[in-house]
Amino acid sequence: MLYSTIRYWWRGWIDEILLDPTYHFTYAGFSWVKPLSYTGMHFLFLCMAISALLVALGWHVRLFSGLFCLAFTYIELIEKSTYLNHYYLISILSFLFVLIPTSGSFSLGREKKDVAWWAYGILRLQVGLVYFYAGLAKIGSDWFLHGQPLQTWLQAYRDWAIIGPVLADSNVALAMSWAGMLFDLTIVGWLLWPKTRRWAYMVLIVFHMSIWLLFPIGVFSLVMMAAATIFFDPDWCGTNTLKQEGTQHLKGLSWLIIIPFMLLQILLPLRHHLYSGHVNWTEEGFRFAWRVMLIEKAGFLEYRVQMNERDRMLVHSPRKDLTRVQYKMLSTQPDMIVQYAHQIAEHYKEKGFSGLRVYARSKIWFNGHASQTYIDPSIDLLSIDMDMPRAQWILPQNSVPK
Amino acid sequence: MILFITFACTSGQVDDLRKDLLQSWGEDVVVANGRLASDTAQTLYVQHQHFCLSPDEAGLTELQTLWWQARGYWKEIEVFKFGPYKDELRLGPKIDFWPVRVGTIEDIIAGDAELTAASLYGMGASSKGFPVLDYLLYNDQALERMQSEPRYCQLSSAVSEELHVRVQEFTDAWDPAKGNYVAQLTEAGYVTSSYPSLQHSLAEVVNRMGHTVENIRMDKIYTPLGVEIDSTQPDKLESPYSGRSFEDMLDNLRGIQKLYEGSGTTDALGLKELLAQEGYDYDEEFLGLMQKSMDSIRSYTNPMIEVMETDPDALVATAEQLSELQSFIQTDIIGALSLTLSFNDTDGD
Repeated sequence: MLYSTIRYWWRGWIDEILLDPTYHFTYAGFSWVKPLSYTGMHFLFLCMAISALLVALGWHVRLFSGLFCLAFTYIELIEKSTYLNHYYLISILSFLFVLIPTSGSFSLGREKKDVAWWAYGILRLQVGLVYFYAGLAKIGSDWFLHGQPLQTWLQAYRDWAIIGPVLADSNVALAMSWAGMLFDLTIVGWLLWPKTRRWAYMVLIVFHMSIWLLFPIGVFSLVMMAAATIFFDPDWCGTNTLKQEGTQHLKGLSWLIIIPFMLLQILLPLRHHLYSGHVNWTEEGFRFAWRVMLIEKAGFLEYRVQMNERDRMLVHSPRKDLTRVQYKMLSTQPDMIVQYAHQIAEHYKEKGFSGLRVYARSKIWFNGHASQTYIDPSIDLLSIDMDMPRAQWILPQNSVPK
Repeated sequence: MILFITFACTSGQVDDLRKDLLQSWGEDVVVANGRLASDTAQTLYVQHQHFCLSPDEAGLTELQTLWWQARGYWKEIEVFKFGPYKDELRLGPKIDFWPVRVGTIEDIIAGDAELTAASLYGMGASSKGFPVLDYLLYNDQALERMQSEPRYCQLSSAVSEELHVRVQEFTDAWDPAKGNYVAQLTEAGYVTSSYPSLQHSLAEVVNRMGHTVENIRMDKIYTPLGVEIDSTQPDKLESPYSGRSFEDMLDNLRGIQKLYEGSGTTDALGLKELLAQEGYDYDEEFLGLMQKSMDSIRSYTNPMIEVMETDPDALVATAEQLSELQSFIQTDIIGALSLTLSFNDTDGD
């Protein structure tokens, strides 16, 4: 996390992502979360880096993990367009580190005691859920039958010597799709079984390093390679030993938080079954569900604004108002499309217009399917309640991939 | 496998159609058109030398024709509004800053500063480039003032020469034998390039194809139509004095069509070949939408400044037609080639 924090600062993302945008896409219920000043933001990152370092060293882990969790989650809440599953995982793990004892043999802190078995169990469950749900999400026709979106993505490496043409082959994309799905669904089992653990971890390293080389998903591979060591025996690196009756006990109320929290982690990725329409298409229940690397979308979006004072609809293109990443995500994310419609309405309201109605004109190219209209163009986006099923305002998907 | 991939990543690139395509776009479209625009601007300057001695209608018509031609070559490469155009030499505004600021031009004419390309070179964008000539060569009193105000003709001549110099600079910046900006695209992934991969440099151009169509709609049609303020804004038109607004749009589209089909010269490549390599045949749809867009623009017999008043609904219909082309580029073409802009990993899953 220290590396990730420094990397974020080093690449100028504090400015580019958090400070420069004039508008931020916030999560439902968190519109009050705003970035701090330039100095405040940089100070926060300094605090995060120090906290991450101290957690790594095992010095007052609960305290500094809590601080890190708060700061990191706050930063993630500022801008929805940069949502990443592994950032969400980092928030979860740092939260769990507050509740469960993690100080062990290599800790600098005073509490150098063995970690109880249930602490391992909770962390294993959490990391295992990531792999399992990621694998489960890949069971679908685009992935299974068409090798999408890998087939589209792997074209980008056509220029690599030797393996470029191989990667660009659609059969290779299909084979990698199947292999990726099998890996995600079974790797936890192989890691837990002592006889296969060593080989499984080597496969895991190959898998994540390949992902790291092929796809720009930041520190995800490093996070998962580190997190997967939780499946090893506690004494795998030398001195720590697992005890059934660990000397670090979970304190009173912590269980009241952990049990519901872990239940939530088990159920949350399944919530899309409550909604009509395919989750990959409507993205209803897509976030916080470990649905990684499943879709490639290219979108066209502009708004049509109707107002009492004008006979003709006003065409509003959001491209020049937003950063590249914001615009890219906006053009394919239904909740953001609705959210930004309200921003546009606010903009024209401030100019004195009334009776505003905002419509989307949108098209989506999705996983090799021919492009089609995405949001129902006849629906006033301002009338949409986000609790309303998305299938009521997103048009159904109607084609098969190439 | 890791070693295999690592080795493959670091051991150089194989022949890649994307690289050839970017090279072809750089040479056969940007440099070729830039050269034509520059040469024509130079001829325009030379003609001014004769014309300003005894301005007459035939001479003015000749100047207008040369400006029109140079303008056409230039507008065909509007997709390439990056690199030398914007980030480094910032040549774009010095060549094509619009809408024109008449007040600035009149102040220069009324002043007593020397009127040469050298003196204009250090002046602001509103005092030079195609739009200034649009005003000087085409306004209602152009001939009369050319004849009666020596400084008027001198300014027109100086702007022509400066335009030639700037377009030449732009062309040289892209030219593989000179500034070789095209290598920024084709050598993506190497330390000398600002693009991390060929995919990124290709994405830069193809995304701008869509943006160019969007700019036609938003900046060149909707803004002058003035829907928001409920009043037309003729001062926001591109090339209003020459009545070239529609032709500017058509040239923008011709340039995009060249990028798709190839410029027509021997060995010139087009995006269609890359799409075909990936198994996509979009010729019928893309060229059909392009044709419809061009037909819609060509349907106007009067200059846009008049159509804005007489038939604004038709202009809205043209913009709608163009949106079909824009969305096709931004969804099907960009999706098929996985060219959505993503310059950092914070827009992943």
